[in-house]
Amino acid sequence: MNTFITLLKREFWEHRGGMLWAPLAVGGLMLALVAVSVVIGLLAGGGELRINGQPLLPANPAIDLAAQAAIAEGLAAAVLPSMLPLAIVLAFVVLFYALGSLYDDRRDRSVLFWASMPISNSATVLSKLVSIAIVTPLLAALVGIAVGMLVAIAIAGMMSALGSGILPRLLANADFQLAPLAVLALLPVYALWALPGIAWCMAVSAWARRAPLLWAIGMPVFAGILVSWQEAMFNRQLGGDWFWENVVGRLFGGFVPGLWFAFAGDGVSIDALEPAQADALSLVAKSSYATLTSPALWIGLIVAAGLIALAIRLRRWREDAA
Amino acid sequence: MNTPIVHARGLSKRYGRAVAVDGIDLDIAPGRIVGLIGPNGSGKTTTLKAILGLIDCEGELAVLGLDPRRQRDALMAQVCFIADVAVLPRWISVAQAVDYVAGVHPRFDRAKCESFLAQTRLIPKMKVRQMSKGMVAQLHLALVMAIDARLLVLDEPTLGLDILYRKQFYKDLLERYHDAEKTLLITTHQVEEIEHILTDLIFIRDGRLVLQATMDEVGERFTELLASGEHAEAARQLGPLDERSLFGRSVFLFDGQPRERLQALGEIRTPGVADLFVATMKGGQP
Repeated sequence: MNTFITLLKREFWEHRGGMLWAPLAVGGLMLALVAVSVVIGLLAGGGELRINGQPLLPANPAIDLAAQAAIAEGLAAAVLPSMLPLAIVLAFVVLFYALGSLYDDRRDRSVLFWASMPISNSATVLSKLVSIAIVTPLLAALVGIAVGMLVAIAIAGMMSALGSGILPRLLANADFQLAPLAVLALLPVYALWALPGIAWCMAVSAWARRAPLLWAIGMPVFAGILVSWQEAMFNRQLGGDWFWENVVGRLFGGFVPGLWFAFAGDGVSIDALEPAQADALSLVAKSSYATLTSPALWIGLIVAAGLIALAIRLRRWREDAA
Repeated sequence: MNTPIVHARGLSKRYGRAVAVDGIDLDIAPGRIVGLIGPNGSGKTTTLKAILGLIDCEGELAVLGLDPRRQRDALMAQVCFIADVAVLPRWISVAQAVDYVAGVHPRFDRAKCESFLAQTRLIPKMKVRQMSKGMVAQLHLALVMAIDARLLVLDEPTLGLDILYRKQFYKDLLERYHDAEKTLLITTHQVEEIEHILTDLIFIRDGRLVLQATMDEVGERFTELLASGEHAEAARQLGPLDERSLFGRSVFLFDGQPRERLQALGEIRTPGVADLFVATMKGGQP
């Protein structure tokens, strides 16, 4: 077990940039933008605050209590969506991490140093998989939670400074308090939906002699074009749409947190959610877990297991690696 | 301890139609320091990779009684190696490298590693990408020499290092690393630097072993004769492996000729490994 921890540390040392600095940089940028808005808001001194043209804070700060409660709830519900930029950063970090995971050390030949240690190829591949699918999203989520909550607190604080009682209401809001748990609860869902794409990229990473990015994206896209082209040529349905949606879409869509609603089929949907609904966050978490009953997920996981086994085997016998 | 460290029969490796290793029989006993010497492309690196389980191969092969092809994970707990190219990852720092090996290797001695590092100018925070080639090699050697491996394979370990580093490295290897329980298998082009530490010599050419002998046997079998002009023809009659001229005299290399007979023809001495190697690779089999 200590060995596995060491392997995870090794992954973090190598990928500190993508795992920590990238989300911190984007999160910092978001906070800086919000800070500028807040300062401008304060300088405007109680002028109208509009979001999408709707007055969020009426010119008269002494708004009624019901409106204050609604604004606090809205801010609490916005914690999760405000993490979108970080979710996109995470998608790219995970994609490139997986693509380089079993390729970079073959290219710079440091694979020979790793191979001189008493570590099985399974342990190597699995430690990278855990780092990509669990540790990396966890760090991004922690940064996301901090940024999302700070943004809400900053806006609520500005409103309070202008004379409303929104900040204490936000802090007392159960949804706001539970936001960290809701986000952390999504991590296993993310890992499960992202696994096929991660496993595919790792297998290509273990196999490609060069340009794993081109191979990983090129092969499924080329296959999709071929099928679609055949359909157009012979005017027959060969399942091209199905292929694009369920193979190409699944492989790469899984990297983006939240897209699982698109893959789970009609049974589960986020449409039922009302933004200001009291338990919006827990509903996101619940409906995300509901996607785990979708057969599409489990078929994807079986494929992922096969691809990981392939990656381990390629890691062992790829001769240019030795 | 009587099981051989390396035991191979009919070891072969083909890349497509090219034969890299062609039916090698090899036995290495415990506690030996073996030099595996051959020109580029002779199959020596392929042989080492097969022994280390890095590539698949044909034939019978056991290292420490284990099959490197099927039991590599168990084998690597007791075997360590440095490959022919500098291979430490560029992003790792000295402290991280030490932590990593300490975390994954049950036979790693951190204190010993740190005492090796203390002799160098390496500092814990320094990253491999900031180091000179010599410093990278020093770090790698410090890590590997702190591992209590029963077999250590060094493929061109001192390539690109200056002579001071090289001398120090072999001195450390002999004085601070090697003991009767440890076996070393070394390849290098700088034969003259290791010949005094070797106990066994193996020459390889075109994927076949052309010589496998202990250094004592080499001393008994091979004789170098410096013959002055009038004896040169007589020496040639005895069928030398090789002949070259040195300051107007002829130098002959003999295999299996009694020293008493040669002594009558001029000065005799035990040949250097480098001369023996050149003669062997030029001519037929010794």
